[in-house]
Amino acid sequence: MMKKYFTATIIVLGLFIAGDIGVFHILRSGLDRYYGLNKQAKILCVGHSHTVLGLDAERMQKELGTPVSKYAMAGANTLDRLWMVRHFLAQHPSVNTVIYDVDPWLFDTEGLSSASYTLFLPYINDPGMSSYLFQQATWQEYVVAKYIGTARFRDQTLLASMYGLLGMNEKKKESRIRIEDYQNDLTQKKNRGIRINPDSLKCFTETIDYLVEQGVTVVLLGIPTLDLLNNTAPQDRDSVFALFTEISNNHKNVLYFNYNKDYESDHKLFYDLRHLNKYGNAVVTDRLIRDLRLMTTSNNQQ
Amino acid sequence: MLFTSLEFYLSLTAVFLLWLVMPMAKRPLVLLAASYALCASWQPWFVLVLLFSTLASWGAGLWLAGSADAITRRKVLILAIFINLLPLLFFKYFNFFNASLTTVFSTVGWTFSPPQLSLLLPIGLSFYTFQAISYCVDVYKNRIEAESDLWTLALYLAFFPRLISGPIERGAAMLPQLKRPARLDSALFVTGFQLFAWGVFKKIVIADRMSMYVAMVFGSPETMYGKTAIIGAWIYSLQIYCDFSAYMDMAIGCGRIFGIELSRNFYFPYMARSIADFWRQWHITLTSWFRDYVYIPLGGNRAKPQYRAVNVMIVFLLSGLWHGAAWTFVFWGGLHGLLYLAGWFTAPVRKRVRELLGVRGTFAALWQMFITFQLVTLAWVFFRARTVEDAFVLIRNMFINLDLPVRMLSSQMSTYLAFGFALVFVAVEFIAYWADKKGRNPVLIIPPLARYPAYAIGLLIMSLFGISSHEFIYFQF
Repeated sequence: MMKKYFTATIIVLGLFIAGDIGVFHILRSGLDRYYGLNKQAKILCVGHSHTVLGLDAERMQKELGTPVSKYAMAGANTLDRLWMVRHFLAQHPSVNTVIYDVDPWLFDTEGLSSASYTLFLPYINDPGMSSYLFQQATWQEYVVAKYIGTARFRDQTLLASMYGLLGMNEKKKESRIRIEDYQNDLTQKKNRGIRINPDSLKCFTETIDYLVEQGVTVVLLGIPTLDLLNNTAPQDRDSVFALFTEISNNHKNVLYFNYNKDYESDHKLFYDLRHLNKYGNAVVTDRLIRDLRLMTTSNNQQ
Repeated sequence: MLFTSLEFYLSLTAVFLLWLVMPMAKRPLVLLAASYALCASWQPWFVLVLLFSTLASWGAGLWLAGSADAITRRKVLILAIFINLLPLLFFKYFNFFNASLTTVFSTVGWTFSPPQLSLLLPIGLSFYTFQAISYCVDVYKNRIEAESDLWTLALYLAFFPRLISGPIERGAAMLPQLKRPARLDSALFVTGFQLFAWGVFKKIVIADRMSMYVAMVFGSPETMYGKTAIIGAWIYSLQIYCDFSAYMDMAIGCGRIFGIELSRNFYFPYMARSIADFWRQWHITLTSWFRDYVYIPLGGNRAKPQYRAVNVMIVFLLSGLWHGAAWTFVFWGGLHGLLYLAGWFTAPVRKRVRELLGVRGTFAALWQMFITFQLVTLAWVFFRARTVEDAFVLIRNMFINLDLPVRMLSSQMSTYLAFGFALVFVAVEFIAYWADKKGRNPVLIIPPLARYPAYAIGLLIMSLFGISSHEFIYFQF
């Protein structure tokens, strides 16, 4: 009797392993397509939800005539981005420009998920990511993800993979912000101010140094956030902006494009306090394409 | 240690292998050591409370067995019950009673400020305390013989699959199983393994996904309106059942792996056609405990109707308080008591109305199930809410702004998955209920050729959609 059950267990496990390998490969290819890891990009946009909703990489690619990848995910903090950049460049040394989204809260880690590393679990077998995940994940998470492909996906990465498989790489929000829905949020922000986590700042500077070392041009892109939010802590905001300006001044290959002043008060461009809707996405993508063209022209002239 | 963690699965495998290689006589000791190790894995000192309860029950049992004098036996029983209740009263209710007394005194203008202690509730205390009391009462009533072997009694109270959240076993059913040779029963092992796997599936794929939506709705009830509040309450009804029954499936499954059959704690409770039915089908071992050790001693069904009603209310209020030291639980218990009595008093009238309307058969059954589910859901709102006020706010909001769209979680995908798996669970429950009524095993409904791929797909779904970071709801009790 036990022999029968043993055989049944082996069959079920065999079917599971085959299914796991197959499903993982399909999902991983979708994710690669979504993040643009499947192409030899020249321009890489890296960041969190501001980039996901605020930049249209497909349009950039079409209009600039060069491969553009958008490796961005909601909640990616500066440490995640350091590893994202390393991960991408290790696979695609073709990258010559990195668009890195920045905002006044970039170094304010309070309220952010401490488990954003789980979004990288599908890449656990890639050399760079493996060591990052080994440091960040619990041993159970690491072991399970290492040996079971389908266990590497979370809802967010699963959805991204689906979008990638369906060729829907650009997510855009249709609706416009209703300021009255955010009054409490704004009051809380006002009372709290902006805090700088030194570890987060260190990861950021490390990323810039790494990219500069690789000979990559870095564009620190201030994707607009709503003026009402930016003005909740004007002094803190200005000091963070000054920091980006200083970094840009100190490095030849680092540029800082801050679009806040030009668009922050145009409320119809926003989906919520922090994110652009499809109109905002179009405006900011247009502007970035223009500025990148100018940058290329001026580099060629030099 | 989470029951759905890799740590637990590895520990369980290690314990099973050790149990298997040991001589049969030593196997219960392996289970006892594993049970105490599990208890200590939360806080090492929890073991001392468990040991205290075990020694008290063992001593009381031997004393009762050795005494023929009725008065002495009665005194010993009262003392045993009191000693067993002491840790529960202290760890679970000390702060609650003090806070409640403070409120009562302050309303009449008196100052009373007793200390509020930072107390940690020993894991499984509510469950093994009731099991210990039932043992002492059963020995007193000569329903079972006193257990002379301390190790057997210790395992009876601590057996790790049921230590944390039950089922609350009886000596008559479990002690003989612990005393017989501990053999591996292959048929029992396989059904145990299947049940365990189904429990894991229910917990990590269904219950924990629903918990995210429930947390959003009950986290800020004042901002949840109309359909969102209603769906949130329904989802919680499904979540708590799925969560608790998942634990039970895992516990019973684990027990079977080691050749021990634990009691069934659920029998399709949401298919109940009245509140009384619901309590016969929900947390069966707790309900039967209250019936046998509280309700019947108070007079049971032989009491006059008015006393019987009072006794029913006492049982339900105690049941509420047993669940947690908070007024929300007392309110929940009280509401169930009132609903139970309302069902009892209106039964003849409802029967007459059904006859007059000619409502019978499946339609009547479905209608009764639907109404019972709504009433149970209403009560669950008090059980889950942070405060009684929050519960009333959510119930009020169910009838406001019904035109507003259903609120989503920050991830729409997570919301759809939660709703989707909730519907899958409801469908599976109906199929299993139908199979049970036909006397068929639900697993055997799947054709043999499709069974292996179905298991493999189940594993894939667990791997892809499983969330394994939430503790079981009943662990807190």
